[in-house]
Amino acid sequence: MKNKTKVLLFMCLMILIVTFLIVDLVLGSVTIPSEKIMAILLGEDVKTSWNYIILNFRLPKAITAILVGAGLSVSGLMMQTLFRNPLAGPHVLGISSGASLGVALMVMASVLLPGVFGAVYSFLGSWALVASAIAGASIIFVIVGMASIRISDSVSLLIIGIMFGSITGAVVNILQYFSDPEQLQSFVLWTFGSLSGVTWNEMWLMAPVVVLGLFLAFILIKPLDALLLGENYARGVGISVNRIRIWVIISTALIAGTLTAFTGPIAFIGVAVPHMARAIFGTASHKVLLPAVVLIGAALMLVCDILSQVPGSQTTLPINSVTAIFGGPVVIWVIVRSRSVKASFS
Amino acid sequence: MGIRHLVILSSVFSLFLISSCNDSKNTKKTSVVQQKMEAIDSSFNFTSSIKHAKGFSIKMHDGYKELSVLDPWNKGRVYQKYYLVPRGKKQKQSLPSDGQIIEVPIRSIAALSSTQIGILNFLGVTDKVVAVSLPDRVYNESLSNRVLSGDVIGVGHGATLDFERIVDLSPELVMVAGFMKISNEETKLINAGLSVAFNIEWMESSPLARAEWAKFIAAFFNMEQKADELFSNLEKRYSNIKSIIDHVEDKPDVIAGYHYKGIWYMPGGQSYLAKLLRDAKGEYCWFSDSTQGSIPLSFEVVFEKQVNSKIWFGPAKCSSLDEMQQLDNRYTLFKAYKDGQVYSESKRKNNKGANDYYESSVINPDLMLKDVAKVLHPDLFPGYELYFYQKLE
Repeated sequence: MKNKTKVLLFMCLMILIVTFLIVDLVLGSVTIPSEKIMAILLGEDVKTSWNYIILNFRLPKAITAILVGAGLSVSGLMMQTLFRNPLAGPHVLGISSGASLGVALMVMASVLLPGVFGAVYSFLGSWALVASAIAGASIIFVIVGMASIRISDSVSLLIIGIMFGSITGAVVNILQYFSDPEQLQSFVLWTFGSLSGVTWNEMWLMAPVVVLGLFLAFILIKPLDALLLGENYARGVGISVNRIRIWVIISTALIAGTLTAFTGPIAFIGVAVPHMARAIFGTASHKVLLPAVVLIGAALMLVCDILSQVPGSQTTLPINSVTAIFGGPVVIWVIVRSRSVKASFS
Repeated sequence: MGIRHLVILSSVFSLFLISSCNDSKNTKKTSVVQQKMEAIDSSFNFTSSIKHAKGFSIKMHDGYKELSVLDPWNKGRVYQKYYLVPRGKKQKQSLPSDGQIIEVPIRSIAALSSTQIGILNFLGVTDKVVAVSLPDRVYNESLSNRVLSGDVIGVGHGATLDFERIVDLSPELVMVAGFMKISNEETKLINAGLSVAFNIEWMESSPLARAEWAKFIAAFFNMEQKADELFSNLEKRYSNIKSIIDHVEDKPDVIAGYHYKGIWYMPGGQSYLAKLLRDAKGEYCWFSDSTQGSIPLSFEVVFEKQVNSKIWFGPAKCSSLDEMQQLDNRYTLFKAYKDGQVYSESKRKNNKGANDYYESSVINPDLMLKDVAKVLHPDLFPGYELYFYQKLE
């Protein structure tokens, strides 16, 4: 693909993102006229409740959507390259399952052991859920990281990650089995994922960490390109595969672990967007793909958030369902058009 | 709104000051005003003593009321404090900053839990409700009509709370059931400037203690005196019923709950049903259990211990023995089923599926006790018809 076309595509994507951002701010269960929204964004005090809804609810939600879309897509891309597997995604290392386990313990085990958990979250307050998710993710990250140093072969690491995902999933199931209906519902709703839970306070923690992870990913562009041609080739050009693996895991933990802690597990985006990027831009080069997945991921997530508002009605759908129902056909269409996925991975 | 009232009050007050220089022909008018102000003050100044409930406390200070909700999961800690001031008097106070400051009486409330609707009905203030969590589940007729006419909106609760709609509505108080502050939703509402009342009545240990939370809700409406009277009557009725039951000798064995996919969900030893069974003189083999919710037991254990139990307090979703059999054929093995002694709290259901049990049972512990006692000892209370429970046919 010519450079000019690429640049054009990038510009189109950026325009799309801005458009979707505006639409996302306009839609919600309370109807607020668009001129008023512009006024509120420019600092005017239109109506207390509307100002609050736009500035403290819809705006952080839209920014969360952009971060989630960009972050999970980048992690997914790195995972697919690292394991040379088109089905890999950001959750494949089990780090997000670790976050789920942390949350499950906080929500459900806290009734079994009231003393311990009571002290913990009355100290942490509303940060308790996020803190427990980050704690869970970190533990799995450390375990997987240590395994990565010991193991020379990426496929083994992939299997270890998946096994950890299964183990934590099983523990969560046991907790669910013994919990009361309210706790169960609380936890299950958390697993549906939600972009609207992030407040500005939390954004101050979430955004920098995710951006740091993204920054790390951009630094890794050259080594990732080399990895794509095979680990032996990469070693041949002087890249330490073990070291790159660790950095990729760190970057994924920062992005996927943090995002999962704040929004719950959001599936599908990380797997689908890299394929869309490859098909649209016709290249496997990370120099193009990394920025491409950032933009496509952000745009797609904004669209999914818009769709989850079910424009025209008062209900909202859980974000995980929308990403899968909407994203699935899109990926199928994209792949069918490009005829082959394997070409990018051999 | 507060300023307008303040202006009216102060202009009336200044009229009073001016006219006090004059004579008696004005004193009749001003003494009416004075009585009204005294009435407002006295309804605010009345504090009731809390006899059963352990989850909240009310303390009167000079010009404001301190309402504390205690943390049932951390003994000794305060879950949330509220400082109630009479409307219009907020600026005159320097109030502590460790609690939510609320002007009373409140004029609009979002009642996000069914039991609150029952208590609001008890106090006679359902017209102040502007939002509920699930509008289709409202049993109370006047409230249901207001839902249909659009005066009351549904906003969900907990994680499914429709944040935008409730912020846009801005009710003067949002009352939630408060579950361990795990979800962020309530904190977000407080940050948005709304007052959120945590009503943790469901963690109380006795039926009367749960009903006494009517005084908690009444404090927000300056209706503590009325609540006190109504509750005293309720207490008397409850102890009358209990004293009649005390003469009974036998204690029939009880089974409860239902079976699903290998697990029998048995109400625990500290559940609402268990407490009523103790007061109503029933025998229940799980009295020593300490859970408030349900215990997950295996079908075999229940079968072995309770297959010959005399009476079954069954699942609310079944209205007939046939329905029970369709749910699980093995229910027919139980003696209580064979004898037709299965009762469920499904008597007061309307055609939309809303069940008054969830709204009114907490505020009518006397009727609940009478129901359970009547089921256990049919000879008691001749002529009394079951209110919440019905026998499954």
